Amino acid sequence: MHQALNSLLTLVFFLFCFWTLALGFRYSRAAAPAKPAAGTGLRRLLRCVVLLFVAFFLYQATWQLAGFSRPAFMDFMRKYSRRPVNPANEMIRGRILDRNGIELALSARPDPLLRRYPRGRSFCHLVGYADPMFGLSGLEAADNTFLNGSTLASRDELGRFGMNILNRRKAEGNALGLTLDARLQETAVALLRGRPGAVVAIQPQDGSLLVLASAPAFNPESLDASLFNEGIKRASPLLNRATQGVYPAGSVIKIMVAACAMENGFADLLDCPPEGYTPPGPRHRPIRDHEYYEYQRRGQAWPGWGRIGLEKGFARSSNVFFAQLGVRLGSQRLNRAAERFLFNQPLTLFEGSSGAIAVRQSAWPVVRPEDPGSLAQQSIGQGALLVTPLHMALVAAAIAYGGRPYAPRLAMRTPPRLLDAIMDPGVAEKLKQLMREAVEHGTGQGANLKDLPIAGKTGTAQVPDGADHSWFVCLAPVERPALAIAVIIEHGGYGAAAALPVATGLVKEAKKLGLLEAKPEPSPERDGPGKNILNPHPEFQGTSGFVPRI
Amino acid sequence: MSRSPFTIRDAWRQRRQERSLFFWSFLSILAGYLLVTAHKTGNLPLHWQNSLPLLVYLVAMPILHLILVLIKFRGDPLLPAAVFFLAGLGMLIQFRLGTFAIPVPGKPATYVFPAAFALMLAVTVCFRGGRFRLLEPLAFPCALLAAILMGAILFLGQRYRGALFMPGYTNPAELIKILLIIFLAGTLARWRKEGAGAPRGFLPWVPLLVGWAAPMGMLLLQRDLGMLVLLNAVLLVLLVAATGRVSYLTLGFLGAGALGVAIFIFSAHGQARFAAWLAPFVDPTGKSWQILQSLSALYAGGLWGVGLGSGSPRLIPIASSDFIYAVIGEEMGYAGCGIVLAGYLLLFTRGYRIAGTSPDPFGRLLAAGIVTTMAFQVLLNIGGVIKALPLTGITLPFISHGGSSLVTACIGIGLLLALSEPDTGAAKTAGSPTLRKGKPKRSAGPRLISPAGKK
Repeated sequence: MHQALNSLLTLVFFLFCFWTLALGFRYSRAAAPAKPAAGTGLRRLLRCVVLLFVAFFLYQATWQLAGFSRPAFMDFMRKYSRRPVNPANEMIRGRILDRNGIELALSARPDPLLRRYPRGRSFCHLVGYADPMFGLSGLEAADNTFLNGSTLASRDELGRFGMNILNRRKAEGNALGLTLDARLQETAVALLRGRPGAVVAIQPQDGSLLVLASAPAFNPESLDASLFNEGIKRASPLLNRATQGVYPAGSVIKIMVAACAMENGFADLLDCPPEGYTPPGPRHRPIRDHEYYEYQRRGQAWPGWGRIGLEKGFARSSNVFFAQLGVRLGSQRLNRAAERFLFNQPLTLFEGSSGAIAVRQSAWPVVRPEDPGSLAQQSIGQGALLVTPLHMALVAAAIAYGGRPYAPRLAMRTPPRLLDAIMDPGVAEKLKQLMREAVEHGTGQGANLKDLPIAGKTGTAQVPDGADHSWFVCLAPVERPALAIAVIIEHGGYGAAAALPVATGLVKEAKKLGLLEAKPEPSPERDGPGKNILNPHPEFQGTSGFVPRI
Repeated sequence: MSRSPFTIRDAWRQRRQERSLFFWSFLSILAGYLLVTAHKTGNLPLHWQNSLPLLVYLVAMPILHLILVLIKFRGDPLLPAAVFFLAGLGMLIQFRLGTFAIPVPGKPATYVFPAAFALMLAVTVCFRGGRFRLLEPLAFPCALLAAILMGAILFLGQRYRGALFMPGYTNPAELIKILLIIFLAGTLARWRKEGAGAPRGFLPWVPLLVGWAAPMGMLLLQRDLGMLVLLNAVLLVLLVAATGRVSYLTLGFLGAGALGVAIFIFSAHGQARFAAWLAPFVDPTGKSWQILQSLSALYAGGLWGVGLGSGSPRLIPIASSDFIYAVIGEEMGYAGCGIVLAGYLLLFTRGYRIAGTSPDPFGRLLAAGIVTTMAFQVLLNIGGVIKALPLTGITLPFISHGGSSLVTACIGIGLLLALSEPDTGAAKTAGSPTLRKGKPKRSAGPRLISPAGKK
């Protein structure tokens, strides 16, 4: 009753005021001359005054109506507003959704400050957190203005902005739709079983990221300071290993070396003796295959592979073969191949309204011709070579898609975009067969599922501080790959032992979810500019890969 | 132009628009009054005496109209209406803020508005019908008076909130605005009469500089930067208007820039305000607290406001005077701010129109000066509140609480009203009556003042 009377009186008050003014201006117009006499300069003066008033009034709107688009202002009000209802909290932050509309992050009245993450730990690295105390990270930081409903890039955003101004009490930010599949991501996290590592799955047909999982994780709904203090020293739960973790590539790099060999028409057989291969030059230790050590442990002598070609060397993942191959190919060719394979180049997953999510650069230290030792080491994925899991998944996606991958995309609103070809289509096809062979008869036999042909490459990367890192890179199904996966498990041992089961488990789940069925291909401009998205500020990547817009 | 004598009946007919606007303003303010009282505005005991000033004001409106009719006033009918609308909104907000909390009926504060309007009427009556020309020879004495006034404040005043006030928190410095406008109009009009446009040589500048320098110097000593900026901006506008030389503006901007730098270097007070303006989030709880509170209030208001009487003006610093616009923004919203600004624009449109129809240079410059001062005052105040400009401590005419400011504004409006009435006395060169339809007068060149001989 009281409320109704109040609204009625307010309405009447405004109407009377408007009417009074309207009448006043009408009278003023009717009274001649309505404007100051021409030629006295007063008309111009009046126009200047009116313009200034309009300018001030418009500027006022940027605070009064669109103040929610000023994050510092909102922060101030959240902290210091003493009004009974904090005006800063009227705006509800937009949701973050997966590709099927499953909520990954949401806020709700009556406590808009509380940001809830229903799938908490599975997405914590990528989605990040929006916490009143600890600030923003991940996508929450990179797309902050969009989530707060103050971007005007599209018609939807414009409409929402207008609605938010008109009815602030129901104001809500924009919802961010991701390409991730929450079910698949949760499967990946479950398969990791908390072991430090990462899983990345890409749809080769358009570069959509389906899985971007990293372990160990943290709970974004209950952050505390100890996470930030001790996290670095321990297992670094804040680190998004999928995009920011850099690891020795191990045998996975043999994909690139093999591609380089095929592109240069290499078809020779190489002798792979049991005692290994010692690169020419002073003080180099021999590079051996792990079979040598296995036989040695059993007190036997390993006969070696003999003279083998690329196919067998790849399937058996022979270090001796690939070290020789690398040296034969020479530093120039491999350096060029590495550049084509997007090494030493910045890569951005997501360009948001307030920043970007960048991938850490994979490092291929350029080898000088007079340094065959480093060349041999880097050809088997050791030495100073470092890669991110996402980069390896991108390589798999390239193989799956004729050598020219789509740029990995994270948001539905980002259109698919082709990158430059990283290998020739024929080479990609041959590599696919090599990887299939490795699964059928080589190191990756664990992934040889009955009705689900997978092509893959294992990797075992030696590290100075413990057991080897376990890699597996694969694509499935072979005939028409719908999934390109890279898995790493830190200190997991052999690639076939730890990482491979995770990848096969994920492929099985993807099949169950119907993600492996053939889909009509998008028809993007295949010859469009395949330029890489440059991250202008590589030094700014934190644990989540967030790069602020400067 | 009719030759027959102008009767009371004519005046009653001619002031019909004023009557109608008064009526609707009355209803608007009444609705607002009911809104506030229906709210039982928090923690403020609702006492009938609280409403007394507002009620007195509402009664004063028709009385003033009747007096204007009775004295057969032929000046602009829309100007008083605009003033009454704005002042009514101001009264409403002040009432809501509790500024008039329990005034004894005999207390002078109750009658500030009626008194100010009486003064306005007196000024109008004094200078109507062309008698404003009596002020022209008083140009230099006005500057002298302004200087003396400033000197007195400098020696006798007390500091309060960084500004000097005379006993009883009156601020006679407000009056120097009117005095200096008269001085400027008189001096510049003499230039016009002595020859064309801008003066040749340095000599004609001497009286202007001498009369101007003394009060400005003392303003600087008082550190009243807002007033300094306001008056110098008006000086520039009037210079350009009188001479038709836009280059003075460039010169003025350079001077303002130099002055700004000087203030920034030498005055800690000015520096703090400047810093708080440019980077408000560097020291949000210190230097920028005021401006951020004001912006928060605006944001809380949104488009339609939280409703008259339901905001939290206690959280806004200096709510009843410097930051009154933030109170309006919170309770009446962006729409309410638009209403206030539109009211001012109506006032200024009429003001410049009066200036444009005034028959001689002095009248034009005087009217233009008064209107420009008021317009810049509104811009400086609002600009400070919305962070478009640094805070200057300038009041919002008719709406801010403050007797001196109100009295000054009313004297200005009184003069404008007097200027708006066509000549009835000595000079027979009367322009068209204000509301007669007709072609606008065209004067020669792009200047405010047509060459003197061309009548």
